[in-house]
Amino acid sequence: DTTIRFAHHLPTTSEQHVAAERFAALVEDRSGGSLHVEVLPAGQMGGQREIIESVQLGTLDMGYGESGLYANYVPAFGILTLPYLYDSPEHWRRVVLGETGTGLGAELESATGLVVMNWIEAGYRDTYTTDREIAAPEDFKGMKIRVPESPVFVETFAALGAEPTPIPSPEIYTAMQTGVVAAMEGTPEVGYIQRIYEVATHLNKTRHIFFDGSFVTSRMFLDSLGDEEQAIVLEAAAEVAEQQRNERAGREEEWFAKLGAEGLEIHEVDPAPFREALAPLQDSFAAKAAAEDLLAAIRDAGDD
Amino acid sequence: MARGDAFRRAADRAIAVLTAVVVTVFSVMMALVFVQVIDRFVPAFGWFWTEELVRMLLIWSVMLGLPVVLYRHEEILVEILPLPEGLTVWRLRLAAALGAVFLALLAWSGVEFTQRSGAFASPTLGIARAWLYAPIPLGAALGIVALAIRPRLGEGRTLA
Amino acid sequence: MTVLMLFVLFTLLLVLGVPVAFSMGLSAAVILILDGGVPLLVLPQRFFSSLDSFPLMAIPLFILAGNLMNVSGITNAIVRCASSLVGHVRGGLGQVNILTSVMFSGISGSAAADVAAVGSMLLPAMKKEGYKPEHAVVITASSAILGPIIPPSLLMVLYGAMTGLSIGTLFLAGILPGLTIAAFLMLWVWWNADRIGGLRHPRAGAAEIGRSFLRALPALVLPVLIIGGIQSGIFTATEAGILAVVYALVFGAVTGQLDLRNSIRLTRDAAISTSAILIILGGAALFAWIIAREGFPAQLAQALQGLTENRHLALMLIIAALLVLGMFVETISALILVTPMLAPIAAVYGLDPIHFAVVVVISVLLGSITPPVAIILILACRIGEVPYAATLRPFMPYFAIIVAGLLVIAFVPSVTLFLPRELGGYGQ
Ligand code: NA
Ligand code: NA
Repeated sequence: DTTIRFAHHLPTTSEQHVAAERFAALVEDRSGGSLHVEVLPAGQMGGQREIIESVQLGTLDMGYGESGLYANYVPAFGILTLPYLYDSPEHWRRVVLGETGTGLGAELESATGLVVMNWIEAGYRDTYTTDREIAAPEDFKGMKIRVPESPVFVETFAALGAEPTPIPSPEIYTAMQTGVVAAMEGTPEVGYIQRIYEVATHLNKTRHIFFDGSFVTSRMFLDSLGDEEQAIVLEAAAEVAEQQRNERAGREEEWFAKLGAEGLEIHEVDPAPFREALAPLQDSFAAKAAAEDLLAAIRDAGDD
Repeated sequence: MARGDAFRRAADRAIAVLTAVVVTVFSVMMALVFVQVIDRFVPAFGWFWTEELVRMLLIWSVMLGLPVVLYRHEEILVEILPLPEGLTVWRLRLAAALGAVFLALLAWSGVEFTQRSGAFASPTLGIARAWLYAPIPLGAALGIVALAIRPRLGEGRTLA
Repeated sequence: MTVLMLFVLFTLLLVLGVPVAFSMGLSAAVILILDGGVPLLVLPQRFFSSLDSFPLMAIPLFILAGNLMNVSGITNAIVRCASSLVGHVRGGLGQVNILTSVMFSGISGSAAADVAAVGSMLLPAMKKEGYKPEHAVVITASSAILGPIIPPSLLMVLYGAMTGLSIGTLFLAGILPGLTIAAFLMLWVWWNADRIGGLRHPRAGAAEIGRSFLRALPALVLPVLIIGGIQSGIFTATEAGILAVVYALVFGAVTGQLDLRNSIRLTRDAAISTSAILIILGGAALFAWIIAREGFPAQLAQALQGLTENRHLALMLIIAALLVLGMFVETISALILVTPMLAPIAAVYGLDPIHFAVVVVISVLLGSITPPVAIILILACRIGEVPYAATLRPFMPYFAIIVAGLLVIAFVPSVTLFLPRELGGYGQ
């Protein structure tokens, strides 16, 4: 009997935790109980970067990672979360499930021994503002906006003319309430759970970044399993991800409905002018990561 | 006892040098936080590298400070075992030895950790992560040395 | 089973006198080696991650600020101010001692700093006036624990850093509970004044009050700046620490008490204290990792739920356990040890996380003055030149008083949550 220790940093109410629990049940069932998955949620085993490192070192068996983190090992991974990169979730799926995704996964494995097991939709990020509606890039001019401490976010909003301000996550609410920042950005789930609707007036569906995620394990761990067990684990991971991808949009609508019910004004935003304004930024990030070909391939896979 | 005195002076001097390094790292770290606050109001420097650098300096400061703490007997511990003086000497030796065992494990695994994970770049500074990890084995190894050469408790602190 | 063995090993090492950080680290390492399934690489990894946190910077900052304040002549000014305000009340210098601690807690984040500053200032005077020395020492130690309850507070910073709770909100939450305990202590000293030897001083005139108030103003303004700044979102708790340091430097330079020489010495002391405290985080992170890997927090929650479904009873049990733990383990180590286990349990019982945090911090702090391992009380004895054993009896009623205050705080959540709600926009 093998216990698979699967850690992640997200709350037990998250999309990702639901997928992890489904994975645990599926694996346990199909292995006839010889494989037991223990899900260790909410950062108990460390932050996200540390969990990925643990999987790499073999102190944990599985974790939940995302492209932004894999970019620490293989810089080209950073391309996948550039702003306004995808025309639609379908476009994203073609990219990550196709050659681009598998190629990057192979690079990661040869550099670190980490194995990307599936692709999950963490979803679109939108902009919450206190004092104005965002309809065009100009509306960001001079606006202080809270962003996560990552270069893609800072440079994206700087390129739009906003003043990106990194503020620790627990202080966002107060910072918006007291007007230190006039905006924040994130998924509708975060907007609801952190009660941002109490301090914001508008939810602008800028959909600026489509966030991905994935279960991750190591070649070392997979090799420690029998062939049949390996297949069970990998297939289960792929299946729960597909189910998650099919259900996410519906769950997102539920969050929007809840936010609307709290009195937030929700605005649709035309992405075209934003995409145009940020194309140079996509190019410069791709150049820095020596991934111009990759960017071209992703653009070619667009909906049109 | 002249030889003992010479040894003590040399040990004191080595620790004084290490202390000076720690104070420097600590002061630079404080200064950087100050710069960062200024930067919040007069954006000029770019917040990211300061934040990551401050965290790196904190680790260096704490880990290099560890041997200094041990040498000065300022480590936090619990004194509740009432033993006669003769036994207490042995208890303290055993405690120091067990502490050294842990530090040896930490130093040994720390070297491997630094080698295995250290090659990848840190997110914003772009330097090898080895710079973030190295103080752990280094501080642990120096900690063992400090435990070995520190004056016995009650011999009086020779450092100012 | 694994967790039980972990605790037994840890306790053994601790009792032997192995430093707290190494006791936690070594007991965890032994478990890992026996288990065999996990590479020891987790040792340096946990050490690294536990220290790789920006909010932790508030700790060296507030330690340094406290050190600088101590030599800058601010303590003297605070004592005079407190004296002119309450010196004439029954209990005299005892009341002054408690009020001084309240004021001092606004610039200091630790009980040790408070006991050192207030004790060396007031204990000689109290003894000279006829205060029974052991009572004077006990009053000093009991009120010193206000330091980390009233903001700024190293313990709140640690709790926030470990749980992700807003440090600004935790600071705000500590104010009224701190004042509640101060009020309980002052009432007790008032009631007991004749037995313990407190003399009443002549009432200070308005001019004297005004003058001493002005001189203490820098110390009284700082906490307002810190809390105000954090609450209005102008700066974070870490940045508030820098403000405190700069403020102390300027104040010390103006009063002429600080020069380059003693500034360097104080910086060195702060660096060493920071190392001594934060190294424990590394050992504790390793310890907590094993506990989490074994699924212990969930088991503990289940066991507690098996005992009682009543959240008040659960809270009582947790407080009692923390008081016992605090009798043997040093405060910061104890807090670091229990937080990762207890915070999830609070959620299971639907206890407010901020309220729970304040109750945990005060419970653990009370341990720092409760024998046998009563570091703050021992420190006060050393300063007051009183044998430790002589304080044990007079300490009893103070213990009861503080526990009474703690129970009020535990069962009336609004004492803790009123300010965060009104000023910090916290909660529904
Ligand atoms: Na305080
Ligand atoms: Na006091």
